[in-house]
Amino acid sequence: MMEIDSEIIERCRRGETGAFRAVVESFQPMIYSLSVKMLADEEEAKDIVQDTFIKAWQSFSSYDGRYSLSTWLYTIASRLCIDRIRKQRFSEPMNDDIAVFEGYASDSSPDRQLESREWVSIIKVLAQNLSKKQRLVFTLSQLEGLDTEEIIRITGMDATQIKSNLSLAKKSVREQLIKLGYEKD
Amino acid sequence: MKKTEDILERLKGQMPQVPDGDLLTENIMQAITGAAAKPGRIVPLWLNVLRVVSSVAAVFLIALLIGLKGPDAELSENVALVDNAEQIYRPMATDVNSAIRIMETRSEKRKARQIRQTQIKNLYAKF
Repeated sequence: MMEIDSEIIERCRRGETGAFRAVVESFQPMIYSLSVKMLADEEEAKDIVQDTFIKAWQSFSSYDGRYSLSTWLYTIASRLCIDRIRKQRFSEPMNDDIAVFEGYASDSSPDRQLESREWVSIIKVLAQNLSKKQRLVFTLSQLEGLDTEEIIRITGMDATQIKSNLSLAKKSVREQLIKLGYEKD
Repeated sequence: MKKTEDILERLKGQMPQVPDGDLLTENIMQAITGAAAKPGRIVPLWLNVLRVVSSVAAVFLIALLIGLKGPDAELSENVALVDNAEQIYRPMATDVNSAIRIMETRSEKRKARQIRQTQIKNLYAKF
């Protein structure tokens, strides 16, 4: 997980916008990554990034320094994403989305980096049947690569809830892939 | 065909580039410097309680003032208006007959006024 100098955090607490700009520049890709994977929509993801940092700035005095800043920002962004998911319905994956996914799956280069719009298509294909909680846990664990302790702090779920939601999410994703003709493990 | 776990493993930890990331940063900085120059302060609980209590007290005082001015005050005002009207339009007697007529009329008016006052009192009593 990304970290930042404690002096910058102290300057943010004092209300220095210059220090906060450093926070925004450092953590913006991380929050965008979470948001676009949660919402499968680039514009919605940008809105979440903006709202997350505005909320963080307004409530910086409540930031608990015992936990990392990235955990705190992830927590704010996760809640905003869940709120957004409650209000919207996910669109079904189109043929173009499936084509993007198949292109990635058949690509043999291991280090291929996906564009933002490619992520949108892949998430639409993989995560279309996931519930809010399953989607959050799957994104944090499987796509962002966070460990269970971190996910507990971000989501407020306990280890058992995380394990069961992740298990159900993976099952749903596998079924989706099998439908598309990919081999079962 | 690749196995599903391989696909999921390759996706892990990849971070997409933010489209127009610099513009997004500027928008965020403008939003925080425009609306609030300082980070938001947490309003203490006692201040919120004080605000609520003073609002309730203000509403109570207004209601009390209206109540004091209420039915009795309005009744007195109505009676005074009727009396004033009669004083202004009181006719003058020029002979004995007209004086008797005027006295009879006044007597009728007095009775009517008493009835009216009783009706008004009854009406206010209902409220």
